[in-house]
Amino acid sequence: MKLVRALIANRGEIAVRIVRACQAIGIETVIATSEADRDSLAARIADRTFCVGPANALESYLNPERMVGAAVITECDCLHPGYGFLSESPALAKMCAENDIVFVGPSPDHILQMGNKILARKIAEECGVPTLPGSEPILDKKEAVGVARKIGLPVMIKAASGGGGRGMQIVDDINTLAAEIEVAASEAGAAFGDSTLYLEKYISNARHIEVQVLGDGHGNIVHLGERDCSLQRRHQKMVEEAPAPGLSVDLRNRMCDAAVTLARTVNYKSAGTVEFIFDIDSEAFYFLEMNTRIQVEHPVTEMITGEDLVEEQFRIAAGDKLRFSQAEISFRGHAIECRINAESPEAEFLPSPGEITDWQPPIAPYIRLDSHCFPNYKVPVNYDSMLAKLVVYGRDRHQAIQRMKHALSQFAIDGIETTVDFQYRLISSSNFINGQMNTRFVDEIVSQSEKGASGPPIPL
Amino acid sequence: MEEDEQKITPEQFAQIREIVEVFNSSNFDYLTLELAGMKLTVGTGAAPVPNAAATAGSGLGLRPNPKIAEQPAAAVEKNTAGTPDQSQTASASTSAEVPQLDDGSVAVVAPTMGTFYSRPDPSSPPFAKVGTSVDADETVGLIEIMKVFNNVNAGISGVVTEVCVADGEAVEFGQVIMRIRP
Repeated sequence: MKLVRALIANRGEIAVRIVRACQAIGIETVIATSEADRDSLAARIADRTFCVGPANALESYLNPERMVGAAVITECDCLHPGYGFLSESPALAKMCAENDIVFVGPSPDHILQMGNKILARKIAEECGVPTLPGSEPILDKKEAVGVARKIGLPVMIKAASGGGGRGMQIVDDINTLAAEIEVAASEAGAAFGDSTLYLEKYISNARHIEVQVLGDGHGNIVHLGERDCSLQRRHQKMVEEAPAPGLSVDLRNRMCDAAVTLARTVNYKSAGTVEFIFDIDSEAFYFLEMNTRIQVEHPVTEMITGEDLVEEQFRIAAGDKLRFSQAEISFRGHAIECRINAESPEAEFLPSPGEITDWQPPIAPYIRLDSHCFPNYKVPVNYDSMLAKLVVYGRDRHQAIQRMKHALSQFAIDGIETTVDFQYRLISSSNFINGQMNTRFVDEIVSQSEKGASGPPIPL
Repeated sequence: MEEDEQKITPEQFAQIREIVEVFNSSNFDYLTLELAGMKLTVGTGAAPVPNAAATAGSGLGLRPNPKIAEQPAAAVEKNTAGTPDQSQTASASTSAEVPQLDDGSVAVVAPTMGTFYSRPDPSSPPFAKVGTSVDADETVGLIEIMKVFNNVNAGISGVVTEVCVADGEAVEFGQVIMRIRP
């Protein structure tokens, strides 16, 4: 099957990224926008813009009827959901199928299986992928206390339908567990429409390592290596890199094999990411969840493999078999991505929307910038604060860090607050340079700066 | 007035007034005068030129600026290369600011995106056409999205002066569907 015209049901940098992938392989593009994004970069470069609703995402980017309706009306034969918004909504994938629109992503079943974290854990256990000691769905608070004692504190309360770092709570004190469960249940119910919770052992000295997989639905599954995403603030990733620093060949192989096994078990189709928590002290890794979409940090994998994951998504959606075997995928060098957000690190990372009066991205060899911003672009108040993904490549991690420091120092953005300087501090810290970081690293840097300790000066 | 920026000077106004007085005492139905930078049409009854809406029924009409008449709101239509067939959609306006035209017409904008239907079913007459008097809460069209039909209400009482979207045409959110003069 040849795909002719794609509806892009997303916004921001990923919408731009998808339009460009389509242009590269000769697929026409229709960008579905909200009213706030009519004049966005994606709208400017797409073949056609179709405004589906007001700025409020519930009536635009989160509305499956409007997105599929727009695809039907504009005679698209496929729909790419990007990440976030409806990308992991089984309803959207199902509605596409019902209307003969090819969903550029996995099947609704895959999204359902992996979207329910308890079900995903079960599938992982069944195929021998290690999971954290944890619980079945919490039915009773008293019972949960017993389970938590058995798992051992600290434990993490998680929402069965959670995602994107939301719906999680760490509990250190058994006496507060019952109360925390109550709060978490009501939060999960409000945020995900499902208040089901479960418990998992919390590993405090941990790294977040994930494996990129591609499956074609014909039974072929490959991995494209791992990414380290340990630098997070409130479970939101800030810096990602590939490969994961300091990982032994044996560990890397075991993690990648586990990811492929899981994907093979469900005959996964499209791009997906298997997330693991890596216990630094015991060097054990545990399955966290599988994301059934293209991820924000996919460029670092592309940089070290030379593959285009979004393009492959379209080929797989068209019914093609994978173009390469595992042996044909080679890994070379090191890539780092820094997320540049419209936030004020001095004000607890408060979002800073508004007009970008000056926008001068760094230009140098081995820099990739995925962004939807341009001079005089107005960052809308309605959506997330990410402005750009600054990605650099180096022959090794040391060179990549040097290039990232230089790139950040040359990135001039005026009119709004950004995380550029904060990112410079993160990647300049000796612990990061030495590869000694865990998932609490960013919080430590934040609290240092709150205590008045200043980071290394930024050369201008 | 032909030029965008040009305003009528007091001298010109006095001249126009004199012309109208002379015309009124004449036996002519219409008078069209073309001077440098100005075109004046004076008359009674039906207009002699097809697009001179402003002259109808009035003694004196200055030709409306076609730019204003045809492009009511901030247009963001731009796509060019490789455009799919249905790219001929009208420019949309924002729902926040309902555009009002020189003749007092108010735009009715699409409350959602979808396929516009001007009639309740194919065998029925349209809900509204040019000249129809409508109440504010009256349905003037339907928008179908995924087999769900949404009513489009007039929003204002008045007379329909223009229907901008054909039956069965795709509309974007906020697109101007018709104009009503209160």
